[in-house]
Amino acid sequence: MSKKISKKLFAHPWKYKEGLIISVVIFILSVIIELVTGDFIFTFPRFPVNLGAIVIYTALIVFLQISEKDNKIIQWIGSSPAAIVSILYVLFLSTLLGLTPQFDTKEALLQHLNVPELSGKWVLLYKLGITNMTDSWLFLLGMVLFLTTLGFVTAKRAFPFNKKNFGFLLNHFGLYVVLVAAVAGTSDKQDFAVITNKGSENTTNIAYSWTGERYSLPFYFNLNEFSIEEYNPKLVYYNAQHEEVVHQNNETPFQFKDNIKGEFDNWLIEVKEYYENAWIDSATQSFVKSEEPGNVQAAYIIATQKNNDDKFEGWVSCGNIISPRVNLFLSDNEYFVMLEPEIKKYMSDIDVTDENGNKTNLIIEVNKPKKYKGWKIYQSGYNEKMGKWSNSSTFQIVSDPWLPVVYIGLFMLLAGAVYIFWIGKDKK
Amino acid sequence: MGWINFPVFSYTALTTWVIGAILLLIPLKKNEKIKDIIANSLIGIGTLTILLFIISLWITLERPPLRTLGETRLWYSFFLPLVGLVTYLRWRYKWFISYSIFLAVLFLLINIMKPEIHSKTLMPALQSPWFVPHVIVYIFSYALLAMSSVVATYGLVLKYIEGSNFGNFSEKYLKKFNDKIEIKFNLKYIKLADNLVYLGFAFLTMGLIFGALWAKEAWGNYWTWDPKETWALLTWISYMVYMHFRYAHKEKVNTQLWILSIAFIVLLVCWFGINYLPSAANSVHVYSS
Repeated sequence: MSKKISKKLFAHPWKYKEGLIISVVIFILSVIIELVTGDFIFTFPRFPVNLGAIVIYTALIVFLQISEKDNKIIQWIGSSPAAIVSILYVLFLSTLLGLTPQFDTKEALLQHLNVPELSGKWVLLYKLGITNMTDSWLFLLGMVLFLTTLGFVTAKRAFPFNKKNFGFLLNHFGLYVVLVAAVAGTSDKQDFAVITNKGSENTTNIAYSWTGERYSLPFYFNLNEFSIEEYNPKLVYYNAQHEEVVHQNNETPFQFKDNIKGEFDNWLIEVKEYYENAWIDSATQSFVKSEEPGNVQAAYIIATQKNNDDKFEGWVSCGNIISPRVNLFLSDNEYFVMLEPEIKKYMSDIDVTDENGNKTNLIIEVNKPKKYKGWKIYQSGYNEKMGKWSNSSTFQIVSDPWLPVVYIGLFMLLAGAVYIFWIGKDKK
Repeated sequence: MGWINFPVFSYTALTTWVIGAILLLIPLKKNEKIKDIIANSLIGIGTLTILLFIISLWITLERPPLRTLGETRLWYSFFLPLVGLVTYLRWRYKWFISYSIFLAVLFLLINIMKPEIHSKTLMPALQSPWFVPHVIVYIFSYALLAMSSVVATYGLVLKYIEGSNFGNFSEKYLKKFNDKIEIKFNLKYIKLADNLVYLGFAFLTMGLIFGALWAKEAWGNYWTWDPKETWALLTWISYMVYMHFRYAHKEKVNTQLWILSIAFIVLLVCWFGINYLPSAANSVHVYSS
């Protein structure tokens, strides 16, 4: 072992021990503020105060880095040990976040735990803000520590600028931009749900925040049409005694099509008729093709046992809110089941009308949101009980003015990643 | 062509890989160069076989095979030997390509012995042009990082078995005396691990960002602290710790190896541990079964 000259705490140059003490102090400070403020949640001030705060904070870092670069503390903040300590501190907070289920409100937490009042470790986790980490003082002050060291190290390499630091700056400044814009920009973000129902009499401008508050939008939604495309349903063999679901033998699920055959254990299956739209004829208990609203999927199948040629045949149907499910029974405990079809895509045809009466027609689909006057409208849900026959459709509408800034940061990071990949690190 | 044809492909790949690796490891007095070419070609053919199967499966399923754990294992079996082969052609580490083949074989064998039900359907939110780049970039990154942790584990094992104490030597010292004092795990290896981490980290960053851009299109938010996201962030930060520590303390090889090994455990939790976390029940990232 090489001999180390022991150094008194907080004698310069600072290293890891000082970093550890600083993070412990920040931790304790966060806990105290959290306990004192209780259920109060700090929200960042909105535009333009948040922008002003960012500019002043960043300018201060740059100014201190340039004018006080011989100051030992400034040197430490921009040093590797400080960087590693603050990364580890964020890692520690994120681990807590990753291991604890997160809830916006106490009610949601209580509901999750299914208890009337918190007890044991949950009291502590809740009081310290760990069950709602991203709104906690631990997180906020941790972020301040991280951004401060990140800011100083970036400023250190940026002034004076040197070409060889290009990759470094893309990665570090990119991350700084993303985090600053994401943290300070949250307060300017508006994120609502709009529930629409078919028919012109149901035109609405009411939006709900995710915590349930009501807002009136300056434009009106009208749902013209909601449609769902489904995958063909699957057939499975169910053994109620063993509570066992068996899929087709060759591992590819048995998906209904006209005239297809399949194998389940020692059963051969043949599909005689397959109706995507059918209606049960109550007199004969058999299915007939029907395009009427509320129709259901049904198939007539023949199941033959391989070794003794035992035959069972009959209708199976996945059912819906109006029609009951129909299974093909082989015995009391064994039957073939048509599973409910999985959703392939769903979309809404809507008209959005502004206060001057200008109407815009939009088709909104999952993964294909549409822009409207600074908002983005996303297809979010529908009445799942009604499924294909849902008359209502839910949208998420989001306005996030800081998004372009976050994206600039993300693209810098992306360019930084390509830089690492392309140039490699050996260039240093 | 679906999973029913999998054994044909996987045994072909298995055979060519194992023969290729054995050829590489057996020293010949003559014709070393020709042997090398044959071995590399065999490994290459095996890897292409897996690629061929992936492509045919993609066509059969009418969707990219990236949804189930079994399907992602398939991609690993493709990428690991690829990384091993490229690294071999560049740096000539025989043990490294053998390990990568060993891991790939392991993944293939798991798929042969424990095939899972492979769902044919893809929910609406996953039908996006981002799906394929997001997942492939991630899997490629995981394969690179897995290999870097193989190097790290190799180093730690050597240290404890052979007692080679490289922790306290400065880099210069090591360079100078590397040939004299027979340290098996020399700087070459930590350099290799380092290169793999940098490459892997670049891809990890891309995967994270592609995921964010996609999430914005599908769910209206680029970051929602979904458990998989949180653990992906943890993985990202863990490797960040390694890179900064390595940068600041080049001589502390021992600690570097430990950080690398721990980072890989975080990655493993992120990759499939998530499926078992209670907080992740509703995550879109949970593999379907």
